[in-house]
Amino acid sequence: MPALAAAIAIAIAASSCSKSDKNVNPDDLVNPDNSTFVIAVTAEGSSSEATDYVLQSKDLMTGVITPVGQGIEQKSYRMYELVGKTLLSITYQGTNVVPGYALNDKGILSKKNGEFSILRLHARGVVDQDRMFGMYCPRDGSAEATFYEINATSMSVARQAKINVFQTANNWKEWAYFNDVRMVGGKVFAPFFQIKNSGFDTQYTDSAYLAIFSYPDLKLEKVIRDERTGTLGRYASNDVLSITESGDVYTYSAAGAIAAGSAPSAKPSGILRIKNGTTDFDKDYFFNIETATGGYKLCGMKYIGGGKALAQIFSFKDHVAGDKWTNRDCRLAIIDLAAKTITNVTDVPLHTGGGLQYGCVIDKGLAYLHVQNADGIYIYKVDLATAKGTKGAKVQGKAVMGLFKMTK
Amino acid sequence: MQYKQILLTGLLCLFVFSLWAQQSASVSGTVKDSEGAPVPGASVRVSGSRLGASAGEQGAWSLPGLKPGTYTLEFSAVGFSRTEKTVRLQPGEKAVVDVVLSRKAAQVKEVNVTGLTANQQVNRQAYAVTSIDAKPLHNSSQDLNQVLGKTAGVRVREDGGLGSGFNFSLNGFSGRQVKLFLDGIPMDNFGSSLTLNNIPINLADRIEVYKGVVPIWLGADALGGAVNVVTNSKTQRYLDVSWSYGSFNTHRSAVSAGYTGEKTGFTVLGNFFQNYSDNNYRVHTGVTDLNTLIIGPEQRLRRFHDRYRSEAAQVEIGVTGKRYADKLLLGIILSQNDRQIQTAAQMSKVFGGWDQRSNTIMPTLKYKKTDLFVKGLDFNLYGSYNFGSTRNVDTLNRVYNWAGDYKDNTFNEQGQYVPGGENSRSLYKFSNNLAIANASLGYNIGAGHSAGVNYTFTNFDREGRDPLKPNEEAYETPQQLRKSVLGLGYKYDYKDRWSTSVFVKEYFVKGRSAQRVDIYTNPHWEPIYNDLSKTGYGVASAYYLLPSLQLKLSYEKTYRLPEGDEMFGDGVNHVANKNLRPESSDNVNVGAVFARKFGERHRLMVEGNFVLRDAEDFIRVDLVDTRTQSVNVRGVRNTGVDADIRYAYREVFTAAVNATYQHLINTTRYETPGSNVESAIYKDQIPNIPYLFGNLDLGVKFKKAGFSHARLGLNYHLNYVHAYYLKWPSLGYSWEKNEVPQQLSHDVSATYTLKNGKYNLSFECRNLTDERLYDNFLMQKPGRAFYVKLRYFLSKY
Repeated sequence: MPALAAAIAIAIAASSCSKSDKNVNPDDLVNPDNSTFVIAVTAEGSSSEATDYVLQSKDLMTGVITPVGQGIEQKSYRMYELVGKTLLSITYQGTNVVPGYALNDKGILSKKNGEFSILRLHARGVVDQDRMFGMYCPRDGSAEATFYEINATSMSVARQAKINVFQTANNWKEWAYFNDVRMVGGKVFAPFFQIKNSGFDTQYTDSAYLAIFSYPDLKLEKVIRDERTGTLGRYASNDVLSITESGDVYTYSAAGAIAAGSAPSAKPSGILRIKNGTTDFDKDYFFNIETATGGYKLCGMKYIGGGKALAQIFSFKDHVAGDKWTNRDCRLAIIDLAAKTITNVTDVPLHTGGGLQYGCVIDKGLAYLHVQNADGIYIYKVDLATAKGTKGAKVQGKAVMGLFKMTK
Repeated sequence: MQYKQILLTGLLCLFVFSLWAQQSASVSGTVKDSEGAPVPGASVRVSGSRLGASAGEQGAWSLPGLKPGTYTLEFSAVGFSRTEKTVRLQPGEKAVVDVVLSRKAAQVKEVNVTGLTANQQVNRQAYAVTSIDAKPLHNSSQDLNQVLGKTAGVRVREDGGLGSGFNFSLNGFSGRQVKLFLDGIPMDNFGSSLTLNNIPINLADRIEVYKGVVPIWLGADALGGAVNVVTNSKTQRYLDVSWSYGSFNTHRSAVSAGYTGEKTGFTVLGNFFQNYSDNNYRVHTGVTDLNTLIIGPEQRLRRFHDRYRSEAAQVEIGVTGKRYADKLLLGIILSQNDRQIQTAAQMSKVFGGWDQRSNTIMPTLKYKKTDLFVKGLDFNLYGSYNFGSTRNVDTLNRVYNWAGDYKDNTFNEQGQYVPGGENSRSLYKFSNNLAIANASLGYNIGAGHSAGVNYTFTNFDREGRDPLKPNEEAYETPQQLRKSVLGLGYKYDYKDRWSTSVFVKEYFVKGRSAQRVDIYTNPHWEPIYNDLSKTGYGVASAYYLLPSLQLKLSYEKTYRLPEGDEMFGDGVNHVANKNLRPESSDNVNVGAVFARKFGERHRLMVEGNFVLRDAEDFIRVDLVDTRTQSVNVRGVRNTGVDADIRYAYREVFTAAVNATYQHLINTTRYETPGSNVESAIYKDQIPNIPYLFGNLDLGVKFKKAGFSHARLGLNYHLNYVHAYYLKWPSLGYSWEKNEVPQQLSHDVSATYTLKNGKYNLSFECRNLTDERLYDNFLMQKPGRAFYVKLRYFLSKY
């Protein structure tokens, strides 16, 4: 019976592929160099009506990118990660099933065989062409976070581990809430903030915290702490660690802008460094963003190569209760991490920050990202050399949850 | 139900009783035809007065509380010749008058109001209303949801088997937008242990479905209609005992009894029922390997953590037929349920330890008096307070798969205890402390004019605590909501042909909660208040174009006020929205009912309804980053039709078919307030709502089946639901859409009754062809299932 069911499943999968091929003209979606942009759009409407659509487009700079009549419908709101040639559609809300998509021989995005079941991932990091790390963090008082090592190529979970969040926080009053997880020098680095309830309240906002685990057994080796700035990253931001070509790790704190929930931090927003081969914050490096910008805080950043990062910096100083989850009114800038300089990107309007980690494609000296504000969502192209933005295609939807470039 | 009845009396003035006797006598009896079969609905009137009664299912009637004297009783029924009997009553006498009516040879042209059963009377109202007579279904093992789900315009969507979560939808409105009542009392005050999915059909006398305008005597803020379950308390002495057993180890029993002292007026009413099911029906699903987390191929597996049990008792003690009170009853409702939770909203997430328990402890008071101070002025009062609580228990630190295997994480590698849960670790216990008071006055002005006023007050004051989460400060904050609905109505009846009601409803809501403020400088909780008031109004009119053809038109501007948790959140994952507005809708119903006899043998009823709903500010749950919030997004316009055709050949054969089509369109042009970007889904069809569905019912009855007073009934039921999309129809590749597939299911049943319904045995097979059924996306419902039911019914012991 199971064999028969599997055969039927394969037959159905095969027929749906051919259906896609029949209905879609690859020339409309795939560039001559076999590349295609993949955009995951959350459609408008409440969660009972709306879901995500995974769309393909040759071009991000003209027309309207819309889920009307196109795109692969997801079963619920998702998060996305591109691991090598596989796009994973990861549980965010609703079903806990992870499907994978790859470009078929015609360049059309098709569902891969196999699905696996994991919890929502609050921290994610791509390891190589096959693997990614992910961590689920509880906020119901459960003691353990779950670590996953996912093999996207084989659509399976290669490793699972439990990490005690109380032990990591080490004050036994609050627990660690991880927001990024990366392989650095054979170890697993995971920055975190702390919370004491599901409202993200905390007493501990006056330092940056980062946990270092051994690999592959995921034992907590140490927690490094730095008092020069506040907690690292934002909720599920996954953009907290920037690893340069030389192996240095840069990390940022939004310092109470929204970073750790409701409590304020007296510390300035800034950037810290962990030098290649070390497991401590570099005492000789701190880039105080508030000093450099005249009092503004970082919202998020993404490493773009050559020692530089694309950053979103808030355009206002007075953060109030209503801003807690909004990330509103950010400017785009390019930061030279080692040189500690900030270059504002021109011709990009104020927009909602966050999401650079998975909503940004770096390609041939250009960065493609989505810019969302009251005027809607538009793709912008940023020339990284001149720091100049160009407005591109309009996106119809509530949010962009993933923007990738794939090649068959 | 007496409560509801008297409001009808006040407002509709269809019949008014006068019960001023001191040493009262009574008269009762039966009405039968010349073949000895009862004549249900036959009218009994006291000549020269407004006293009267109508015969029940078994032809029995009674007139209690008569002054001693001589009376002429007039017996009539549609299709029968009128008969008179004279009776002389001594003080305290209990006279019995049995009559036999002979059938009229000629066809009856006009349907007389006095000859209608309560059921038909409800259907005759100017409102768009369907009254389902529950009595013929008392031998069935269905619950109220299953009965309601066969009505035109109605879909009841269930997540699974007995006791599972359900969503009632009516003409495109669903959830809290449709209000449910038990004898005119809002059921949301009863707690989860007393709802449509566990109340046995035997408790109901009839079920009224108001599709659109909700009359003022149902004092609530419904957006699009209401359901009122009217329980059986008309018969003064009765006993109804039933037990059913069926697939998935399902046991259900109910005992319903009433006693009223003829002289003392002392009354005791009791309803007791119990439900139990393992709900271990088979589903088709893949099993996740607990180590690789890979989901395997589809298998057929039993549900293993879906047990449901509930028990309930309702007892009322008091007096009836007194000078100071037609009815004065003190009562208590005690109930509890325990529901294991098998899956999340989609079946891929499976649980093995999570359950929810709830109980209700609710004292009640009912009082009614007709002709209070002056003739024609009727007063009614109801009050209750629910002390019950609900507890959510999720403390098992395990991961389950569909094979029932699990990975236990209770202890780590060092042997230390690790607290955890399956979905969200919880021992949250809350009590909503629901209080309700309702008072109504109806006055029959005379000459067809009547007026009424109804006032309903509800108080919600949630207290919740989770011993596992001492840091959840939000639990400590107040969550209070007071709602009042004041309704004023006026009705004019022109002869028996034309009836019009107009009404105004005033809604008030007073809320109090707290929100966290100054989170960056001086974090603390500050009270928030949300006070609102709205005015709704409407009109309903019905006109008999022909004696057999009634036209109905009704309109209502209505509001649904936000509930406590919508406005204030649940303190944890659902955040407050103090700017939440009431949902509002303009509802129009246009309908026609044609009912007549063709010859002596054929009866035909055809009913058609057109509905228009133009609703704004739908309250929907939206995702706000990590948490949810209720927001006013969505305007919806529903243009729909439903039709119902019923045919009966004598008492032998019945056929009924109904169909519903509803076209719900999103009328929200800008999804985000303040945005000027027209949304891609403007004017798209609202997804995840069945829009085309219907039912077919066929029944045959055999008299003298085996024994002279034995009857055999056979029934067939077909349900059809057209396929519909889970998400917006216009979005995505058409071949990649998530769809709830077309459903076609067949149920059959047989009922055998002895001694005119005293002993009953029924057998039922649901989903005969073992179809895969879903009400919600990929949430599989039970396959073929068998049920047997035994019932003993005694009226007038």
